[in-house]
Amino acid sequence: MKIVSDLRRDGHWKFILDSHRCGVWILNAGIICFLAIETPNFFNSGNLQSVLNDASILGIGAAAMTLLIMAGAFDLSVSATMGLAPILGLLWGGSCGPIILLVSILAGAVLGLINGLIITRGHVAPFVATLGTLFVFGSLGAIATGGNALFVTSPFLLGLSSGALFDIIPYSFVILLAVFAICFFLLNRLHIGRWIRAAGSNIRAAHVSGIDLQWVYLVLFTLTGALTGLAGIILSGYLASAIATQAPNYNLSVISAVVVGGTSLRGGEGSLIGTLLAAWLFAMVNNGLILYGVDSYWQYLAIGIVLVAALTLGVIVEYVRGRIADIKSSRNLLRAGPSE
Amino acid sequence: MLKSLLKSESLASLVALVIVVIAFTAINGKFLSRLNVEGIVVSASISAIVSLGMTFVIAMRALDLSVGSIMGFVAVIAAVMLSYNFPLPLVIAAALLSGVGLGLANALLITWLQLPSFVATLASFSVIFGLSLILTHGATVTIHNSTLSQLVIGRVFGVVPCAALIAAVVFIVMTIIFILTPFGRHVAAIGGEARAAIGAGVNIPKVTTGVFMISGTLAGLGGMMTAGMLQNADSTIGTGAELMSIAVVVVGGTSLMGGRGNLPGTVLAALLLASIKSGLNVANVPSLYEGLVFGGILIIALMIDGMRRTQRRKGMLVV
Repeated sequence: MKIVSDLRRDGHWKFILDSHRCGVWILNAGIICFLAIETPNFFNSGNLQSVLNDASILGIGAAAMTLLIMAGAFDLSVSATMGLAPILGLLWGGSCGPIILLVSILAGAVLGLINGLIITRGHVAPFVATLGTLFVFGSLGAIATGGNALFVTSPFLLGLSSGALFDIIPYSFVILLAVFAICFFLLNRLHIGRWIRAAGSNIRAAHVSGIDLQWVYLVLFTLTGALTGLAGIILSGYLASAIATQAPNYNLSVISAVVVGGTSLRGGEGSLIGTLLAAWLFAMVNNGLILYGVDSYWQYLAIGIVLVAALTLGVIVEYVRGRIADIKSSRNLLRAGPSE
Repeated sequence: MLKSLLKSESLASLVALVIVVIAFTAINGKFLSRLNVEGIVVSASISAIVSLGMTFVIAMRALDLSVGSIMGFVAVIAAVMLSYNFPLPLVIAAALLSGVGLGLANALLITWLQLPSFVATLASFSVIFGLSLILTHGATVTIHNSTLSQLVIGRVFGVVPCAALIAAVVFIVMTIIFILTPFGRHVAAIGGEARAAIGAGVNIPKVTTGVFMISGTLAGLGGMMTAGMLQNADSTIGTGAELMSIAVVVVGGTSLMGGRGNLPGTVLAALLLASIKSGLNVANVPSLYEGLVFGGILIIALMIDGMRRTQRRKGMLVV
């Protein structure tokens, strides 16, 4: 209940119109209006389900990355984990769907733990450490399958990725919401949430105040690995196959989603809801382009423009707010009269 | 020059390079054959040129993720212009200018919108990659002009590949800029402590613009040389080059924390990684294992560096 009261204390408007998050709201609203006029097909339940599916695969990884970026770290290796974890799940999980799912998540967690150990015990900056493991995990995934694809035949996994609850809400979206709920709980209800923010805003101060930073980063990297493994097996189920390179640009897309969602790369502050909206925004733009009959070559350009637009909107809103605050304060000064 | 070569980080790369060369020659004598060495030198030159630009960026404590897409875009521009029979000097000038322009665009995003370089170049990576895809419709453009390829793999005096000569010139110019000009010192000052640099009167937007234009130009040069070497170009020519060049810079001993740039180390690291890649080929190791070896080297090099740093200031957690 305190979560709701927190929102109320901040005021609903401030919560929604926080300058960095503003871009993603405006773009979402604008693009939905555009799609409603130009391509009414967008709102078919079948199409909406596929958009939600895409958004979920991006969003599950982005949820974990939001926490990681708030703590002032990165994980570039997620695009390799997206391939390696489901491959290990399919190789070691036998033919039983739920076990494959579990093994993929566990494999992802172990890969994340390896990242965390290299960073905390080896004293390596997260950016370059995960750059190294990006190469290593990607190579391991290719070696494990000889560079070929593994086929997903388990009806459980195929159903998990393409099926829908009551034939309306895709299972992957339900999983996404559960993941966000867990991350929200972690961030706002547990001690580690405060430690994450502390580590991101000033790591020396956090260290001096006695926070076990190594433990925080180990937990965060393991969580990122596990959730990436989950997203990977859902993607494999969706594609009905698993290959090491199945999500080549996943790391950069996930970081883009987090940034568009209003989380600062400087760490310390961030928004899970913004990330969720940004994942939906990217999935919607890709889908809208297809419906609009645009060549697939335009997708990269469109994503880049969305990224620039969201960031520019954030800057403009911040500027306008600064001006309004200036005007208000000068008005107050006038009312109070000259102080000398 | 000699003094900076003897910096411990460069020395480590040099020792590693010698060990790698000896080891692969022991496995297969063909490693030191003329053809193989030339191949190594050409690919190392291209990677060194791109990474030298990245060294400047990292010394300023920034990152340029758009390097790979600029390589692809410039390669595609050059190939398309050549297919319309434009004269070669004009093509080279236009391609290099588009590299400069893209670097300038990055700089404007960073300085006008006050965005972190990581985010700004992430956005421009997407836009530039999209542009080159649209330009080629995802197809490969063949280059029929053999002069461009001669400018990359042809031999000067019958011995040295042209690419090595270009890389040497770029290295010397960059070293002079970095060590001898105020601009170079400003780059290191911003990377070391941005607030102190502002206090000392360094014009940060101007220096940032210069650095990203250098990075864009060198990435464009690298992309054009890759296209010349392969005799064709497509938009994926530089895929992954941004992360690879960051790896080269870091293995070369430049810290991501900024403030210092080790240009000789970058060149040595480019040679080291190219030798390993070629050596694995010569030793009949499947190319799937390349990532394992590269990533392993990167992580081990960084962990050794990390341990050395923590020994120096014990108790401080450096994350």
